[in-house]
Amino acid sequence: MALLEVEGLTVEFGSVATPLTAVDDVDLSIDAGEIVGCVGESGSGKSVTALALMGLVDFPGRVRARRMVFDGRELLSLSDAERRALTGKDIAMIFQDPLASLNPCFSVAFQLTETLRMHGTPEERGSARLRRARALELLQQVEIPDPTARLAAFPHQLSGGMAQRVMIAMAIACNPRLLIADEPTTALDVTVQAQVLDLLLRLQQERGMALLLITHDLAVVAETAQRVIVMYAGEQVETGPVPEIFDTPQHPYTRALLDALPEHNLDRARLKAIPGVVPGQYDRPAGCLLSPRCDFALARCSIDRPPLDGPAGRKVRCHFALDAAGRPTHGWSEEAAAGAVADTR
Amino acid sequence: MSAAAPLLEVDRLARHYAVSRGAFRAKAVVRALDGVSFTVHAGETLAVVGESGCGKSTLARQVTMIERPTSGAMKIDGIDVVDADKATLKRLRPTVQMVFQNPYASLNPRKKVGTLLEEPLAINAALGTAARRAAAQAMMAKVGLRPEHYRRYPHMFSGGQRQRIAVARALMLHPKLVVADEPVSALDVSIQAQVLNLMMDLQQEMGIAYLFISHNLQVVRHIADAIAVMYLGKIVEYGPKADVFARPAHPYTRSLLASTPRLRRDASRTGTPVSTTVDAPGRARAAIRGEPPSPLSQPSGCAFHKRCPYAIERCRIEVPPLEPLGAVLVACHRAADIDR
Amino acid sequence: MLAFIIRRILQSFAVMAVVAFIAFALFNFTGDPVTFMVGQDATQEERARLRSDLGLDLPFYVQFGRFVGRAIQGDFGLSLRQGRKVSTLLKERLPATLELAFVAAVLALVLGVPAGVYTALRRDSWLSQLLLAISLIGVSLPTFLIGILLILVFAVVLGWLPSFGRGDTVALGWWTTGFLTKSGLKALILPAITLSLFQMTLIMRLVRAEMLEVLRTDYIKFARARGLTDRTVHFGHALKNTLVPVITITGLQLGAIIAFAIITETVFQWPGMGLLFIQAVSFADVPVMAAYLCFIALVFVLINLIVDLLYYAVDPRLRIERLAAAQ
Repeated sequence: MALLEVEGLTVEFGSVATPLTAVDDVDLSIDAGEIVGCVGESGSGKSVTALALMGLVDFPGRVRARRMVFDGRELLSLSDAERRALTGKDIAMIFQDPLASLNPCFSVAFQLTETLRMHGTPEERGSARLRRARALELLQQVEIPDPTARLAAFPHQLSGGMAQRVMIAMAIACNPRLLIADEPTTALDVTVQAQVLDLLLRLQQERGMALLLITHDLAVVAETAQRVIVMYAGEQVETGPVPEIFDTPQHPYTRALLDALPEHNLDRARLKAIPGVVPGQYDRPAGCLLSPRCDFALARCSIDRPPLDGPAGRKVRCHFALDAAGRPTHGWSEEAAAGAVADTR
Repeated sequence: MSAAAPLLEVDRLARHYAVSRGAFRAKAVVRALDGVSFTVHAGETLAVVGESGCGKSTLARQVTMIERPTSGAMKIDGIDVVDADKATLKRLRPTVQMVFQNPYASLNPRKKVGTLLEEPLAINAALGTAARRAAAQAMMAKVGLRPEHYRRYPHMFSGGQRQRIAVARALMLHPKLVVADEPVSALDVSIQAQVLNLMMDLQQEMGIAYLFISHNLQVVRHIADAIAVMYLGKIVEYGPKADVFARPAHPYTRSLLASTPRLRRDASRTGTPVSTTVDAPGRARAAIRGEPPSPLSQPSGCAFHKRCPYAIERCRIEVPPLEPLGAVLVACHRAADIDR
Repeated sequence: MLAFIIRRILQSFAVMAVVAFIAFALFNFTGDPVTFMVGQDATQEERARLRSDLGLDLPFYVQFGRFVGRAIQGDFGLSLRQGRKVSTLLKERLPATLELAFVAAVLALVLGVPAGVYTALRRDSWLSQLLLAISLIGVSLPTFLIGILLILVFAVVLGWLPSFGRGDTVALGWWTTGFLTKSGLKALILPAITLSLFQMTLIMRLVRAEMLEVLRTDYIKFARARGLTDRTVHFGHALKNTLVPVITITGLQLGAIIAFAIITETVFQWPGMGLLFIQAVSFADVPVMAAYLCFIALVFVLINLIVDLLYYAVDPRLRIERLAAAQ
């Protein structure tokens, strides 16, 4: 059984009459001990999805879902106190900017033991000495050199990589079953990035922890995740196992995203760029959200929003999902495409 | 590389900063740039690669003549810059322009696109209002902005379009060299491709040379002709792109390449048990230990020796010079011994 | 840290020297003191003798040096109006002003900070709206008007509290206090509220703005993601980070409370230094004015110094020198 199962997650901001939809009808399931990648560009709704899972979407934002079950418990029907007992203990999260995510006014030791005082075992909650010993042990686990000295340090005295390790130590302090990592390596140097990814994977393996890795970097997901969810403008456009998604993407967006990477254009002078920009609040198309930027869009695409369709575990939101050769299927034709272009011009 | 005189010639360029360590202690000297040498020819792209604190932004400030180097020589278009008087510098400045990383911060939000583009002309060229306007509109067409954008403010544009505006502004004075400091790092993948294409198109059309500063090896691999890898203020490897990527000579270059995530690799990490020790064999990634040291506490000998898996006693003591090895220059005592 | 303190103290001396100079200049801009002191029909010789007795024939910088030397010992000469030593006059009036300022400052902090936190956390509650509305009045109404209104309501109409004076005081050595008698405490209420209202609203609005700012930061997001209780997040994590600017402003306002007590003291005929100053101004009693000016400057300088030191206690980023040295 899946550890986390979410169906129809929707997050809206702004007024009820003209809502700004940040996340639109996202389905998500993560098994215990599994690594799921969530990729998308800015504005794709991937970070808001994570915050919604943590119960951290603030008041003007509205979170709805048909189902949001973690470990057999429906999250949306829990009381605030019950939810908080889960947050930070069984579901933990780390953020992109490690230096900004640690409170500048408190030492590493204080912030680490604070988590233990809140969620630790009864013994840990009772004994400051035990908490301190545990904090030291955690810093060792995240491979921080000279951990005793680092306990007394304040965040501004840490490098970015060190701060990210401290944040990871805080997140795993109470042995979470699911760790959500929102762009955990984006703010770090390349060599440090690799170290932090290695650390996350090692901890994930050792603890059998599930990991939801949110990133804009397709290569990071390709290297680490078992399954991947591709998001675009708040919608989930494709989901599937990792080698498949990268070898034979079915959604034109996934394919275009891969084609835009320099790594896919080694012998070409020009990169295959996606024209245009992600739609904003006011220019959201009625049909498929990608239709204004899609090479294959037909008249139907700009009217009719496609559903997320396909066999379990390999779904795609496209009327004319691509085949292995990258050609649209389901009756797509060159002539119809030419007609659609003529219509829009 | 062509035999013609280089556009930019940098020889043992250094820039040191004095840093206060409190009232009662001597000031520390940070060697942000510690004797780098390279050349850039017209129409060529030299990529400078390195992590934070390696001195690449300091280098950009010297090349754009924002600061004066502490020592060394730098010639732009054959004219010495290091000891140049103010008038010479003023004459040279239009030759070198800059594009910054953050297109949200580098454009004045209170000025319209047209004003932003015409500003460099108003300062540096004797052109009438109509001529300036015509030049701005021609440049907008070149970088793919529509004529109606002339009267809009930067905040009305997306990140990619803003970077187009920044590129257009840098090109208004028809510079021979554009220093681009992480120009696509803040952009999404799909937008990044648009801007990289634009930069390469403009290079072909106008014969501009780029000093392209980046930490992203994949991007560098796409756009550069030659590559200089920097570590703690020094160039540790310098050579044509193909050679550096095919046979990286310096252990640091190798670890940078190994650390860069890739879409496809022979041994995927997925499913393979990850061992707990750092040096265990069979790992997908030859990640190196430690973080880039602070320029405040320079290690003795080779700056990289503390993180280098190949370091020997000599590396701790003796600073390796930048020497030819095959098609590249490399600063490593052990470069010849390491199996490439 | 030590270097920092030394630097700040040297700066403080510089400020005090400038103020002393201005105070000294007062004497020279308000006419010839000799004219005030001798009669209309004094002879030229008598004037000259008095002039040399007072040292007024000495060069300007010597006079200034003497003034500073005496001022450091607390000697500002004799009041022109009362003929008593200025230092004695100030000493008599000091307790009244300090007690009033102290109560006003405590009121402003004790009510202002929680109100600021509350209005930041419960932005949409009716109480927040009410507090913000009241604070608008506090900021916009002039102090004397508030004082007069309070007198009208509580002294004239309701008759609960006295409208002027300090009530009965108890002498503790040279210090006189109104804290120990019922009438003294009652007399304190209206002036203290009047004096604190502006500062209170200022602190409340400042705390609110800072708090809202801090609540948006990543470290608050991360603290919440760790499942900490709202109380820990708000009062443990957020409040400490809002304190740095609050300390700055509060510190400066504390000086302002003492300085601007002039108006409140006038409205309530409070026998403090402010009232003394106002009376001195109307009689061109220059020594008293000069002494008051120097005293207020000293208060501001001292408070600033303390505020700078407090930063160290609150913000670890400023302690970087010390820790870096220890590493």
